[in-house]
Amino acid sequence: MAVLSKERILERLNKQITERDSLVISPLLQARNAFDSDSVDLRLGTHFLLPRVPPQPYFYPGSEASKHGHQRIHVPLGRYLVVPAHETVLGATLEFVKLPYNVSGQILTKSSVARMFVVIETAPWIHPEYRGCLTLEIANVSNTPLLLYPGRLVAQLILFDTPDAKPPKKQSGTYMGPVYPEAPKFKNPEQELEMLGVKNPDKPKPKEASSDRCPECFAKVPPNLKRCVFCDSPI
Amino acid sequence: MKVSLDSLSAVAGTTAEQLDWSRDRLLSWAEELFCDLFAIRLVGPCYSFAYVELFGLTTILDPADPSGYSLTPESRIFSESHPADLFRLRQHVALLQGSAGWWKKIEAIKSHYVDVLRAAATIPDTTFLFPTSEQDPSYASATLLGFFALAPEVEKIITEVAHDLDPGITEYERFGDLIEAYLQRAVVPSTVFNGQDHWHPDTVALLNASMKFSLESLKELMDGVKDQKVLLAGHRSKWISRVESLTSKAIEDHHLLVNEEGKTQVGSSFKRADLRTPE
Repeated sequence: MAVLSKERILERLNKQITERDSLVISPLLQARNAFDSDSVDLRLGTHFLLPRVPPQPYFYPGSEASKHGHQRIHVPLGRYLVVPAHETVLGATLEFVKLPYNVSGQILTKSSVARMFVVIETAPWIHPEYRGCLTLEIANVSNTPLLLYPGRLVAQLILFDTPDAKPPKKQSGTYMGPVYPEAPKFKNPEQELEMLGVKNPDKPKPKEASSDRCPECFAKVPPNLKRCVFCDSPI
Repeated sequence: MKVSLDSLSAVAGTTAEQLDWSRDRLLSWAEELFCDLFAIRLVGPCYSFAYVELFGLTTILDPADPSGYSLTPESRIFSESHPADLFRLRQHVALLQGSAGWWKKIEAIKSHYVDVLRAAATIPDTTFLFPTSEQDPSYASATLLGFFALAPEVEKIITEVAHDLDPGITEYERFGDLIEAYLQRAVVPSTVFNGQDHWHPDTVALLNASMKFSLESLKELMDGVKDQKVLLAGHRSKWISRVESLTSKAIEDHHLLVNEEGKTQVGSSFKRADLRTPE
């Protein structure tokens, strides 16, 4: 497994989409400056998923998690998003990436960004044939609120040749072709653990619904209201 | 408009209030029609396909009927503010048939949506109704007849005001197949490579190729994905949404890419600098 050089990356970019070993990165802005000798710089996209505070005092990683766990927002180019100290947000690369069947990738935080104590990616491996804007798990681990500007360079993509890989007959559709950050998709823990022979795993007792939070968006709402002031859902 | 109102004022016993009422109807209907036709001149036939989808007009298709369609009551009726859905669609087809080759492209699409457009083109004026409680039925019908005379004038105005607007068909012809090849692989078609150059297709080409792909070739995309069944509405709907988001991403990207340094404009198309050449 060898790292692809700039020349090898360009070679793959100059293949037609019908060729299984073609690489797509688009929009490749300021393309002449986007390449290092062994990597491609990627920019922050304009869509984000802000984590919501769950109604329970914990996050339950079940099938419902992807439905209510985040609020989707769009921050146009030229505007910024504030990430408070020690908080997290899901973003995505501006670039849509399609990897060849015989190339894996790794996405790394750009060093200048990392030195502000911002982690851009914590699940950095990209499998062959992946296609989509890469979801970034952005964490501000500094003690200061941080401004994120969509369109700025935030990550580096490194590509690895995987010469023994065979083109798959069909793609997995779970995360295929996303252009926005994607919330995690889980099975319920009992489903997954059952395959290991574990029956009835522990589950926290459901707490009584908190009267001061909206059951839909979990925002704190003043008492005695019939509808949420943030999302207008009935309380 | 004047001719239509003059014909109404010639009807014996027509009052000034009635003429005002007719003027309001004719203006409302003409405005709707103008907006439809202007949208088609701006973005091409994908507007008509979206219209068929939005108003559920595929329900008029009826294989048991010799004509291939049987009209639903609601699709024939003019309201006080809007022309009947099928009347509007008929005028869409008239514009598409008369303009720069779009109709040939539409007829080549293998979809029942095209059958709806074909059916709409054959519907006679006498099919349309304008039930209203505000006027005597015969006067309401006369107003409707006035609008039938006015509608071709709206089309003429559109042709005049948009005569120097590129209908986008050249770019569609050039990149349509390539855009579909990208969508078939669930890849954003904002930069498409034809074996020689990297091109950035424009919005009209993207929208129309994407619409054609959704109507005709969604199966090819779904066949390449594990556990997806073309006949399941939920599965189809998921991939139609994905094609929509890939297309909207390509349109967003286009605006960034055509402002790039080093790009070249060839006619109305933009291509990226060849990164393999020495800087």
